[in-house]
Amino acid sequence: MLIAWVVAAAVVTPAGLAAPDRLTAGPANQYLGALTADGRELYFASDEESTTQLYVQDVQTGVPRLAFDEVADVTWPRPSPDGRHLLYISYRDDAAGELCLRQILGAPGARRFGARHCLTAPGSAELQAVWFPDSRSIALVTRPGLHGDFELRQVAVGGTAAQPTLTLGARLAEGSLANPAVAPDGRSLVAVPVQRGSRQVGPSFLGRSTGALQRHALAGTTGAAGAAVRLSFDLPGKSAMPAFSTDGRWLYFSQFLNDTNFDGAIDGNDHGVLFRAALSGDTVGAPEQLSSARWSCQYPLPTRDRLVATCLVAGSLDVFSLPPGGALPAAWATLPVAERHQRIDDELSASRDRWERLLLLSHRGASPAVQREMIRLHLELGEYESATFYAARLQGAGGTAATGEDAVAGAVLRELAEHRKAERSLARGALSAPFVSAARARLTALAGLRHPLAHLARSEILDTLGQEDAARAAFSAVLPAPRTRPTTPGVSEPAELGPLTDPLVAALWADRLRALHRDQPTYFELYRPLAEEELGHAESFVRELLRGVPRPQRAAVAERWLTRVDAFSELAFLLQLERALAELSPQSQEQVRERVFTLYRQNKDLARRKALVAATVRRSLAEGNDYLLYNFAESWVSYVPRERAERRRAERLYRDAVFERAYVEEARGARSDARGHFYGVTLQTEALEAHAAFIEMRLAEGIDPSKDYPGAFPEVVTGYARAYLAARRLPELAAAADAGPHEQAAQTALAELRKLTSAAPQRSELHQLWGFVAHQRFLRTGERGLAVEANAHLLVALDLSRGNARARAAVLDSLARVQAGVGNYGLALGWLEERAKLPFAGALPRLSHCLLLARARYHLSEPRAAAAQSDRCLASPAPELTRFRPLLLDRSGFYHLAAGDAAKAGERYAALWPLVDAAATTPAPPSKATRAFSSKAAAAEAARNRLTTRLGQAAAALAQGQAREALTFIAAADALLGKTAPAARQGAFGRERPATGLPLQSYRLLLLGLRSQAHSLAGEHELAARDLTARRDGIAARHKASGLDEDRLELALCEAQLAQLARRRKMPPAVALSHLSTARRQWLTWSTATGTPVEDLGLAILASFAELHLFAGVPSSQLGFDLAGELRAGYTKLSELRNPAWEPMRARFARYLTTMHLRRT
Amino acid sequence: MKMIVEAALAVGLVSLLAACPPPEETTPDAGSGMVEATFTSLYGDYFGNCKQCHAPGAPGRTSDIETTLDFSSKATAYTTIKTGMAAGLTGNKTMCNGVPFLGTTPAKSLLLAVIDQPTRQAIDLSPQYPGCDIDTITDGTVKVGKQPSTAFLAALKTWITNGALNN
Repeated sequence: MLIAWVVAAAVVTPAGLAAPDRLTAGPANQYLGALTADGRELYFASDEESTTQLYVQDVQTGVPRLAFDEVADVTWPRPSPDGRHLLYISYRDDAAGELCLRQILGAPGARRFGARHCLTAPGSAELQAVWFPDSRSIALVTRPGLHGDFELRQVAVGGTAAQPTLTLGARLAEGSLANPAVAPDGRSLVAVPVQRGSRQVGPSFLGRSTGALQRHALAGTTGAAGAAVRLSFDLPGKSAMPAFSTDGRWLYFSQFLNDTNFDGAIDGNDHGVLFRAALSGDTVGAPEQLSSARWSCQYPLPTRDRLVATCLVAGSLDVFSLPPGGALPAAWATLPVAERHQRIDDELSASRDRWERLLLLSHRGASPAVQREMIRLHLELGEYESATFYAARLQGAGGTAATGEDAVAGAVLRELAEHRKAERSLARGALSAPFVSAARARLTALAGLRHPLAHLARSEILDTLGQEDAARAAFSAVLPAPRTRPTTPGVSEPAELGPLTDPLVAALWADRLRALHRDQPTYFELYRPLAEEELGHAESFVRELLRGVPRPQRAAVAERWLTRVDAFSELAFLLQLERALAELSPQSQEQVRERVFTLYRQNKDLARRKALVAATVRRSLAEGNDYLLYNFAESWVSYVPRERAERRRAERLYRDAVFERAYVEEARGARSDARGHFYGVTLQTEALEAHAAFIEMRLAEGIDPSKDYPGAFPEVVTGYARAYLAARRLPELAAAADAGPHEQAAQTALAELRKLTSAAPQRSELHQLWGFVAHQRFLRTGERGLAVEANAHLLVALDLSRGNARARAAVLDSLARVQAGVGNYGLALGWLEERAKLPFAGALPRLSHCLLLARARYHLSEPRAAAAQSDRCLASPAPELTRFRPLLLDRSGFYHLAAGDAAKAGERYAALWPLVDAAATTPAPPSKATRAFSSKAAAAEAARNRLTTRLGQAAAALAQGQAREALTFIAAADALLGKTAPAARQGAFGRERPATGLPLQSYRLLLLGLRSQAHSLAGEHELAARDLTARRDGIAARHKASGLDEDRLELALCEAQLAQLARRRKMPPAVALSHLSTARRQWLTWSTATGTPVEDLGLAILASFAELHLFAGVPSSQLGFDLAGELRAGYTKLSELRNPAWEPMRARFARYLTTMHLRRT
Repeated sequence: MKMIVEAALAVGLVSLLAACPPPEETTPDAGSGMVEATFTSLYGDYFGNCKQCHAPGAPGRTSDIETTLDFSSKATAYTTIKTGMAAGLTGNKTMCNGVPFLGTTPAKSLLLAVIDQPTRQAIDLSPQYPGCDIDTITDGTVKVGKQPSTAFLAALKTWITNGALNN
């Protein structure tokens, strides 16, 4: 019997490339990050507010705080090495920039900053600054005026910590220099020489770096300038932004390798890649690539144990951190060369990303094979500068040893890269004549080079010049020999690929084949030999073969080709796979699985299995078949050896497949299976999203989820679970009259979230949940500050969930609802449109989104668009949405009414009435959604729905001129209006805004207005006047109590309508005049109070006065104001504004004025 | 000499057992890195993870999970491992239905193959179960989210070799 000691698990999956760790997050840009010497705090600039400000962030908690408010733009934060001061560039007192210092006070997490002390140098502009190691000097980039050359000067820091002084000193180095970095021993500095682009325009506006760095020795304490040494690295592109490691052994810098924005120049606007080079005395070693070119990373600043940089990801800048040695695992540096190369090769075989492959290859040595592969990748990426560089190296232009064949290949590839770069320039406006001339020169040069690549390059150039026949002829010089049928059954004989055995030649040849022969029958015959031998080309062949082929025909197409290809070839393998996958459906999934699995078992080669799994996963995703996806993700992860880099991807695929399966099962209602799979994901990852989903499924099963959590979960998980459980009760508690339980649950959730976001600030789920809690509190209380809080956290959640479509969808929806809740419908619409680009998990979320979109359109004064949108919602066929039909009809009716389509509105309300009437008499059985909704509340809501429906019917009938029908509906509504106000609009959960209801009197006033209009329409002017007078008096009483400006406008409207009725009743003009004068007084008060000089009612009142004067004979002297003058002023104003809606009124004013003028004359 | 060694071992074993809390509650060797080749020790160590899915009502249980194993207690775990055969496996794993969990040797143990990559890579159960191999045996460690220690695997192999006793 043995007792064994634990050491470690038997086999470990190797760690791969390190991805940059995000240090900052948020909807704005965060950049120019600089860590303090102890690594405890991060300073950075952010444009989140209207001015650029500086923030300090405790790295342990991840919580950023505004450092200080300069009340102006500030940038370039750099803490001193001794931690006592922060330097920065301020634009407060000098729009060209000035260097400032502030004392750093307090402790991490509670920093304060002293008063600003600035270097005020009239006529100069300060741009950048870095500390000397002793914290007593600063190297400052300044310029004498906006167009002056850059000068690198020393600034002495004197005085005291609290009252530092800055004294501008001598130049540190001659020449126009920027981006300085001072060595840790203070004896040298490295900077970027900058050339002017023009004599008249300064380098700040039109400058370019020379491409290399420059090193200057600094002698003595004065730091006097020493001789300049050019530091040029054996890399394509330009070097910039140097920085020393803290021990002085490395020089870090950003390299702009290629013209990634295709503007014709390589500069700071292109993607930056981080590099470092070893320093040993005066010797600078070879550059090592640290980051992938997929990310644009600049401004590297190393500390003892990490490298901080500003990187551009998905259009937003943030500060990231990498290990000091970059993305490659540090342990690899200590491995023997052969083993290191083996690791790199393993990573290369697993990598799917071209930039990642280039990063790996940059550490693989400089053999011709490596360089060929790099050239191929750079050509595929369109990075022609790098392709040219490495082609020249392959050619041996730099003295690198190369075989004759490699030298010729390098020469050919160089021509090809230059040609492609020149061709791209045509799109930027380069002239075609020089292009053609250069192309012909390249053809001549290539004609003298004996290499298969030369034929392919010539073919491409000829093709570009429009000489297709010549292009085909050049291409046909590189063709594989036709395969001979195997003479021995079961024995495969390799095709005579000739030059196509070279992967680079094969890749370019395949490109040419596609360019010249695509969509022709010859394409596949020519491609077949290569596709039979090489799996990657077999995949391309099959992809092209089945492009555009309808699903029912795919199997037949694959079957036809299977009779023509070598049965043991890579191509045959993939065709068999396609044949098996072609008929995938929910009904056939088991048969398909069996066929594919048979093929899987027959082919043990890792590459073939990888291709099989990839194709199966693609098809599964395309068909939405989680069964097949899950089976093969599981088989694959179980097969791939743990010590292979591919294993990491297999594990990720498996986790994603399980997650996907869980969501699919949830959507299908298979809650137990969904719960089980969500739980599985929680074991494999720390995805809080999975925990939330597991909790929901457990609750749906009626089981307390807290009993399932073993103690092994980290605190962030258990804390999140507690917060989640508290937060999910909020919608249910919101319906209760007592606010206590709701607030208590919210505070419970927030207490957990505060702790968790301090410990794990980069978890999007925490911010999303916080946003949810704040939103729920806002809905309950109406406090707008809570909506702001919700919005802030949701924006962070959105930024942190970039790669997670589900999370993004949920956050986008929440952001839209928060904005809609405070009335910012424009912003809400933007979020809704973003949300619409992502899938919906089911009919219900899609419907909810549809309704909110319609509402946003309505509130943005787009009633027609709102009506059309609501009709789309109504057309949703999902049977499970039948219970929402009353809501949809109500919304559609309302929006059609607002859009002026009264007939359609009437139809909607007519369809709605039976439903709301039935609901009032026969309440629906309680569902999960309504469980918390008391029967009393449900009854009150049903009664309100009947009332609002009758109101809608009345309004629709009125708008259609159906006076009698309208009066009938109004009477019915009146009867429904009881002695108490109808219930405020709210629901069991998912409320859109704080509950607001109208008082009883408001409904009465509404009905009076409708009735008055109906009577007027029916010619019953006396009755109309009676009701309108009652309405006016009611509004007046309400206004007296509330003082609301809206009521004053309503009063003006009532008086104007009474004036109109007086005329219809043929009362003396003085009566109408009296009403109109009152209307005018009310309107003018309202106009002054609200700052609204022009408005529909005001214009209508003025027009009524004109008609009273012109057609009723009221003398202008009795009007009480200068009618002509006001008409002229009104006409002038409308002419300035030119609002199309006011054009008819402007025409009427013109007619009135003309008539008045004619009568005077 | 041999008797003295055996006596010393026996004393050590008794002492260890006396110090053990009930296996369902804690891992006897928790934190110490020691795993004995006893079922008690094995159940208290890595096997304890299995009950998160392989037990009635377990939070990770799904309808497509293997249906024989029951890790809800040491007793049920032992019984089902010792006498049971895999059942209820679906999809690509179907060919392992009917295969006994333990096997005659560690190299032929389905139970070991599920959690040990080398065993899974090399397992050959033909002629009785030719289809149950690396292609059809799941890597259970992926579902658990962590691998067993070398000590656990060594102890498990020893336990199987020693007859898989209920100790």
